[in-house]
Amino acid sequence: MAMFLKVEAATAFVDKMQSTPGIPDFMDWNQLTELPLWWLPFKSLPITLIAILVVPAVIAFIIGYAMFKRRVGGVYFAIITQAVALILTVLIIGQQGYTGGLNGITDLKTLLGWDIQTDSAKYTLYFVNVLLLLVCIIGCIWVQRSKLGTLLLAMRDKEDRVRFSGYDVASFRIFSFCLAASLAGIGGAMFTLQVGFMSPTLIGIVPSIEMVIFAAVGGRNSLLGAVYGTLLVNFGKTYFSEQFPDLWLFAIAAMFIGVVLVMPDGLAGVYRNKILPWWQSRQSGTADGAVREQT
Amino acid sequence: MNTETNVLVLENLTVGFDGFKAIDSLNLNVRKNELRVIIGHNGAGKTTLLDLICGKTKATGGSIKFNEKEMLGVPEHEIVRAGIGRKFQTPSIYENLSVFKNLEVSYPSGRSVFGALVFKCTPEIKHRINAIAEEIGLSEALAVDAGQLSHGQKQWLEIGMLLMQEPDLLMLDEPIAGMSVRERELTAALLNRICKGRSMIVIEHDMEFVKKIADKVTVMHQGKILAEGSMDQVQLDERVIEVYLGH
Repeated sequence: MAMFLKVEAATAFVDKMQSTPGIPDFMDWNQLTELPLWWLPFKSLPITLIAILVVPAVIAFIIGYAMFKRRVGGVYFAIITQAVALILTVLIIGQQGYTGGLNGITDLKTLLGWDIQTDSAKYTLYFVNVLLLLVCIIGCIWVQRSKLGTLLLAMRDKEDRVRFSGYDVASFRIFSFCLAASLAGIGGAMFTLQVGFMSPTLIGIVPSIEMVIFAAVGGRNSLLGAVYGTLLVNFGKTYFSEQFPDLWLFAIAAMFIGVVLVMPDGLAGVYRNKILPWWQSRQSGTADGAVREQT
Repeated sequence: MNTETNVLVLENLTVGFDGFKAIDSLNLNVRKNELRVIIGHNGAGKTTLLDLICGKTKATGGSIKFNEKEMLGVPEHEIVRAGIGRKFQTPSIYENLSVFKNLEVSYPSGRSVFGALVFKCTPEIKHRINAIAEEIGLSEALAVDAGQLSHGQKQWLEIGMLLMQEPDLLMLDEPIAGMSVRERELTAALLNRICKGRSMIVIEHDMEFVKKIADKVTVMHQGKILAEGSMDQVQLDERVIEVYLGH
C-alpha cells in the first residue's frame, strides 16, 4: 500500500512523454491553452526517467518523515497511507485539466517515435520489464543481506532495542519507504508503457489492498514470494474474472482470508516449512531405502 | 564530592503523569567506575528513573548531566552514542537472529542508513564478538537463533549486546529476575568483571545479590530517594527498615 501512492506520482507524469507535441488532448478539451509549468520537465525523456525514481521517493520522504519521526506505526500508518492515496485520487480526478480527470491519461501510442502498440513492441517491453524486475530483486536482496536488512528485521521484532542500541529508527523506516516508492515508480512507468494509459481508477484503496494480497499470498517474509504471489493472483484474476465475472471479488476476498488463516507466511512459508523439509527427508529416505535394498 | 569524577549528575529531576509524580525532585550522582544499585518497592520509580536517563520518557523538569553534557531533550539514539547503554527488564533481543548477528548489530559502526548498507563485518569486529561471547558464556551458541536460548542466556546476551557498544554508563533493570541460583552466581561474577572501567546502575530486589555487587545502594520510595550509602549503612537506616526491608 505504501508503494502504491507513488505509482501515481510517477506514472501520471511519465505519460506525458508519449503524448503528442503541443498540449495533450484532454487539456485542450478543458480549455487549457498552454502546457502547465509543472508538465514542462516531462518533455524530456532523461528528466522523466529520473523523475520516475525521484518524485515518488521525495513524496515518500515527506510523508515518511512526518509519520516516522512522530513514531506513527502499525495500523495508523496503514490508515494514513490509504487516506493519502484516496486524497490523491480525488485530487487527480478533480483537476481534470491538468491530469485527465477520471479517464486518466489515455491514447499513449509512441515512445520517442517508437510505436509501443505493435506486438513486437509489447514483447520488447515485456522483456525490458523482466529485466527490470530482476535488477530490482537483486537490488533488494543486496539491501536485505546488508546490515541494513538485518536492522530492518531487528526493528520489526524489538524496535526499542534497536533505538537504544544507538540507531535512529525513523531514518531506516524512511529509507525503506522511499525505496519502496521508487520501485513502485518503476512499476507504474512500465505499466503505462505496456498498457498505453494510466487512470486514477488504478490508484486508490482497492488496488493498494490488492497489492497487500499479492504479498500475503506469496509470503510476506519473502522477496521472491511477492513476485510469484503477484503472478499467481493476477493469473487467477484473469481466469476467474473471465469465467465467473460475478464471483471474482468474492474469490479474492476468500483467498485473502484463507491465506491469512491457513498459511500466515504465504506460499514461501509453506515451501520453507513444509515442502523443503519433506523433500529433504524424502531424499535421505530414498538413500536409506537404497541401502536397505542392497543388503 | 568532586564533580569531575561524576559521570552522571541528576538535579531536581521530576516527571509527572496526570498529576502523579513518578519521580519527584530527585538528585543523584553516579561516579566513575561506581556500581550503584537502586532498590525500592514496585512503583517507587526505579524503572521510570532509567527511562528518564536513557530518554525513553521525557522529564517535566530538572536536569540530567552525563559527562557534563545535558542529556535532557536529546534523542534516544544520541544518548546511546554519548555512551549510555540500557538493558530492559524483560530480555530484549532479536529472537529471529543468531547470537552472532545480535552482537554484530549492536557494534557501534554503520549506524547511519548508508553506513549500514555498506557495513562489512571486519576481522576486528569478529574478534570483538568472540571476546564478548566468551565473557557472557555464549561462545558455543554463536550460530544459534537467539529465540532458542534459555531465559538466563537471553539476559546475558542482552548484556553482551550492550558491552559491544563500550558504554561509559551501563544501566541494568533487574538483570537476574527469573534466573536460577546458579545463573545468579554467574551473573554476579559477570557484573563484577564488566564493571571495571565503567559506571553501572543496577535495579535489583534480591538482597543477597545486591550485597555481592553493590559499591553503593540507593533506596527509592515514592519517586524520591529515601537513603543512600553502603549496603551496611542502608540496612541500618530506620526509615529504610520501616518502608522496605522490614516487610
